[in-house]
Amino acid sequence: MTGLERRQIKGAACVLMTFLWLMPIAAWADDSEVAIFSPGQAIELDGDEGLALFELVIDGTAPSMNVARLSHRKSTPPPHDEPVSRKRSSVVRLDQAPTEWVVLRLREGWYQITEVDAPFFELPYRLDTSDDPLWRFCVVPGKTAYAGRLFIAKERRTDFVEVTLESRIAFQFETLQAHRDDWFGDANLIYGRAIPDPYVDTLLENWR
Amino acid sequence: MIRTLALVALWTASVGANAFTADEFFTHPDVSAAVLSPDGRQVAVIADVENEPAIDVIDTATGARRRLADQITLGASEASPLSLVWIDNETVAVTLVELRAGVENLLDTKGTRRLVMLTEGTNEASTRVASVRTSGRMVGALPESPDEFLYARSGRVSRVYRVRASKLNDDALPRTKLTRIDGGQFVASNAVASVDGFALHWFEGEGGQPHSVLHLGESGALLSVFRDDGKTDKLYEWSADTMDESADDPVFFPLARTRTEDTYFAVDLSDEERRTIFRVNYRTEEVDEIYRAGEYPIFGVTLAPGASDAIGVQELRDGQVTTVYIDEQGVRYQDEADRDGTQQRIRIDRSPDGQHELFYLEDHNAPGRFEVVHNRQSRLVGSEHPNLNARLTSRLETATVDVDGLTVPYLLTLPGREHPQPWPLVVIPHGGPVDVYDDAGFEPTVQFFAANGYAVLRVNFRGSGGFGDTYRDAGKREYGAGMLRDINAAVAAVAARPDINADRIVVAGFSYGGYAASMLGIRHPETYRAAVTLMGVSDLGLFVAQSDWPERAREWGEDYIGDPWTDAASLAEQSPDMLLDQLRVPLMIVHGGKDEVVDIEHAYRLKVRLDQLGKDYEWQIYPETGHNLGDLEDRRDLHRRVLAFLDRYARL
Repeated sequence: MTGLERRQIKGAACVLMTFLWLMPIAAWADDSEVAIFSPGQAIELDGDEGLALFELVIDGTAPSMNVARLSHRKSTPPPHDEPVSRKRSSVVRLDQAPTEWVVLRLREGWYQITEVDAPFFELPYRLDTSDDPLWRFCVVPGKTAYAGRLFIAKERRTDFVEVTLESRIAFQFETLQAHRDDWFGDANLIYGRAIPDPYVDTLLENWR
Repeated sequence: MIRTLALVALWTASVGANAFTADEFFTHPDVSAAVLSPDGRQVAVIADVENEPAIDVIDTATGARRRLADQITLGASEASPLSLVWIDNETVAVTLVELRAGVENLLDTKGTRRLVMLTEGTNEASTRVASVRTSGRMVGALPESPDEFLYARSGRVSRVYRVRASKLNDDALPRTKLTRIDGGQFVASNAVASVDGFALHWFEGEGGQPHSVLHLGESGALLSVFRDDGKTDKLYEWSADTMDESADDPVFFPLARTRTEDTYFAVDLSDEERRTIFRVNYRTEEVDEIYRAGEYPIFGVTLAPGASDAIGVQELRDGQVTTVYIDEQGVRYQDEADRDGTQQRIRIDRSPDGQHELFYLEDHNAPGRFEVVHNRQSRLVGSEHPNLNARLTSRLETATVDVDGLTVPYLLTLPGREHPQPWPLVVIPHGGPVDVYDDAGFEPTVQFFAANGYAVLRVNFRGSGGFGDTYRDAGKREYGAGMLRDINAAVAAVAARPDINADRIVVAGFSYGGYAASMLGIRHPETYRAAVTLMGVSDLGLFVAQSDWPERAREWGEDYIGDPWTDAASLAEQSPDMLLDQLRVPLMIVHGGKDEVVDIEHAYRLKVRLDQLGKDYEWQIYPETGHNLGDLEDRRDLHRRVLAFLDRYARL
């Protein structure tokens, strides 16, 4: 592929992305696909639904992740050191993300990111995260739960794809504060990761 | 009024006395590696010319230095010299590596290295430059055969060829259709060894002949040793799925052969930081850790030619390849007696007749120098930082303090006597912290502060390396407790000295040292007047809950720091970002935007919380810097700012 062809494809992708931004993406999603929205979008939530907030810093062709609801009904995180049964997983097509910040509309409960697909042109890559408790997040009815920053990049100089899910909430705190009203409205921001984080608990105590 | 003026005058005098600015102190190394010609009459060095590499030759009898090739001659706009080897008394082979493309990729199969032969003329313009056009890499020189060297090509079958430097095409001459690439020397009749599969690395034996080879097979990688009949015996094998940089188990990748049978210097590919050299016996699978670099990843090890007691460890510093010389035991100072500031003197090369020897010298207050000894006469032939030679007047003292039944060693660097006493004290806890230690080698940051009138205290607190497994393991889960007690006990001992101003103590550290500095500032405002955290951890729970840590790293974190799930509360109690309401002293926060070891989130956690609490702090982010002190420009700026910050509170 020539550089010109690559630029043309990139340009076409930009047009497509703009188109996607304007369309109700959920209309295309089948049963096993989770709809993906920008945080500022007007999203109607059912009584048992909430939002999971992700920051996406992703690269590659058609990255996606699979999420599965855990059979854990308590509000406290599921046990980190024993298996937790889960429902069938659904796919989140990250290349359809309208912005760097996205929310997923999901039923209340705990979720496991079971797999991240990060294919690069010459390097198909799949990370199995199904047993890793660091890849869990919660959804609380009527709230927006911060689930972390998903990072996908091919490391320079190597054939290694880096995939991480980390808390970057302090790094982005200014952004979150700046969008307090237009992003979250009545859906208060809460800490949504399974790994305990007393700092973020303290930080968000006075969010409202 | 007169008293105030006198104090100001005294302060000005103390700062002015032999003080260094950061710009003056921190420079690119003038000479970063040196090798002796076979006859001992010349030393070839990798030099720096206005931040660009060059190759110089120094006459060992007269000290006269002349340029063999600059970067343009080398054709190295994107490459840096990795190593030098004399082919004979006239020709030097320079291996260049493309820094952007492949220097850190040890499983490099893309040919990012290039070999250039430089043959001396009467002046720089007459140096003959001949590049090897055939893709591959140099195996070694052949000491018994002037003009000849061994060069390896990799492919489905990999071969080593005997090549004559004089038959390579001169880069300055135009090539025609009749020109045979590399003099047509890569032919079967010149092959001296071969192996099936793509060869990643060839290891020299005595006399320069191939001894063993690391190569790819059908199911993975193999380390094979040559027999006398030219065939190979498998010494070790890695399956394809284990030869992976994300592997959970260590993957010891051999970089150089030691003089001991079946034993190689190696790095662990699964260690993302790649800052440790191991000695690995691939037959018995015995592994010893022998050297750990401070800030930079290691990507190469070379044995000093002609000498059996030194190796060079190649680190990538500030975009340049830098060789760190260590003895074959891997430590710069082998025992307690040597830690007291005795000059490091390592023989790094020797002429075959033994008449000339090349030494690398380093002191706590003098950066590396290269010295040739001939007929018991020694001559300095190059220095890493000649601007600092004989200008640093600090003294080093070592002592111990007893804490919790442990004997805790520390190093105290005292400024020269031209700086008026009592001196302010800056405490610099080391990073790591486990298995890392401070030694009596040259440490630029320490000497920078000493040259600016500070006494500098470095404590090898529990958990530090180099003092045995028991001492290292005493650091388990003591990040915010025992380690800090050790530092405080040493500070108390030093503060009792009459030449130290106990009311002017500040603390600054990098990585774990930054964590320790924050914690000491928060918990002991009665001792420390200010604290600086450089790329420091601020939240222990966040640090041990990294999703890209392999299982082995997570187990290590749980063992040495704490379990992020079950110990969350106790980790929070030992985390600076959760204790900032208690902060009473000025805090400076410095971080790199590309830090992949301690994420920049750690710095922002401090910032956001301090903003919430309405507390002042100093804030400096270097967007392009990783988990180190940055390139030369950032490093200078960082030291300038940190010194100015500390001066505000330590020189009141």
